[in-house]
Amino acid sequence: MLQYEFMQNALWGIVLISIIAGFIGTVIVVRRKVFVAGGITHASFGGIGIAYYFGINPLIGAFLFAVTTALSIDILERKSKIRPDSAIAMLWSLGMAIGLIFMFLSPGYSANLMGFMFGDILSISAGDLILSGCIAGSISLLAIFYYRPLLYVSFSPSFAKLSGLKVNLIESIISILTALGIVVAIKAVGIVLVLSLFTIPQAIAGMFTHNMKIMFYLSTGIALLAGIAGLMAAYYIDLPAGAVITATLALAMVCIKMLRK
Amino acid sequence: MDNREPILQMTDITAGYEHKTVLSNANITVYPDSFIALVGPNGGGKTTMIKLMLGQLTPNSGSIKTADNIHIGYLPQINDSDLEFPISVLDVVLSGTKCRFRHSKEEIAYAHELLKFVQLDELAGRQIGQLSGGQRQRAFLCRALMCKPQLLILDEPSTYMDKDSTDNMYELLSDLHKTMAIVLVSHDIDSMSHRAHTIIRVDRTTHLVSNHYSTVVPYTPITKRYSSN
Repeated sequence: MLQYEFMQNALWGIVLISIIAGFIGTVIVVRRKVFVAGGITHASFGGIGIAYYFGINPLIGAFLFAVTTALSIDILERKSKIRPDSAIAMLWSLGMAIGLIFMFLSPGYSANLMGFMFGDILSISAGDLILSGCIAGSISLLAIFYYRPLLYVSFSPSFAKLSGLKVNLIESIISILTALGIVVAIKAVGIVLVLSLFTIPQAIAGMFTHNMKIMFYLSTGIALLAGIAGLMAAYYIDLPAGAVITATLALAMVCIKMLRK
Repeated sequence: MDNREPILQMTDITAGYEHKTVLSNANITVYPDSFIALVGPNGGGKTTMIKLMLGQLTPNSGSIKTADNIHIGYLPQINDSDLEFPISVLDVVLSGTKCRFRHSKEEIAYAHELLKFVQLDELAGRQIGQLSGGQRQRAFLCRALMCKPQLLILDEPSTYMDKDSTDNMYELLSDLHKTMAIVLVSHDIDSMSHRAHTIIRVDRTTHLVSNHYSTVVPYTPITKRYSSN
């Protein structure tokens, strides 16, 4: 199946997205920011809709919306009098609403709408790969190089601040990279399913290790295996890859949990 | 009066959050060998006092002076951290230092030394949530000690601890007090009365309840209200 260029692209895409999901997902999960990640994911649809309407590359719109949402949530969590979870839900649904409005205003939207919602792994282009490669590279290098500050800020931001770490700066960098990572993963697995890649491999990895660094690598590997399963299903039986990836991960998690009892 | 140099001195402090004033005319002086207990009702301002000392909160008025290059160790309340977090006991202790890239051999050796001091070195590789409540507090105590503090601040260190663990914690504290000042928040004024040298009641302001800190001053339990001049 690898004689086709789109399949090679898809496979490379899966590798890079697995690295992104393995690292960013671990940070999201251990910091208990899954709901925040959900907010960023869905809010990015607003940017996709607007960009689509104006004929710009939807990824650019998604990046802008995702990063703005991520940083706004950071600020809301630090300062606001609004409850952070309510604020996240508001940005979550507002982004979706804006996206839908602009999608409906554009002619011939319906096929693309499905693509954004559920992903289209076989449409990953060489340009997407370069972008994913840059993001995967910066995320993994930063996480390995700055592992200690990342660990301490994640475990206890208040204590890390006392120890002299620039917690707000580090948290903002984490938020921006989370937003970028989520957006490139949306291309492959879609808005609705992307969170599965950022949470289930980490949940499985967490059953085997209590070390955040090992969690990075283990969840990358798990995401990669599920990604390949999804790709094969998409190629041979024409099922949506994102859905197969999510189902594979969930099934693997249940099986491992039962076997370990 | 005392002619020794204080390492931390808060004078005539007013502080609070947004429009709510929690403390007014609050005073505290910490000497290098002080052992001070802050007691008082919930909402009276004990935690606010700690935040001021740690520099987490800026007072609305009054002054806070600290000795140059002072290192302050801090043991927060037990419910502050996520016990399911994938972090080992050793890494929790190491997180007490400011670390940009990696830890030096000396820092790692010192972390082990501290863990030996609190009898936890065998559990250094365990995930933090697998420790008992008392063990966990001792691990967090080590984290507070990593910066080699001259002043150790503890916020209710014995909450949720059984009697043995509490006794063990206070034994460690009296050991530590030989080399550093201690400020401790506690609900339990009775148990504090024979452990701390100075007891300050914090209830919207500070009241000196007792002070048998210095042998220069003959010990008489005094109750003196610090008021604004």
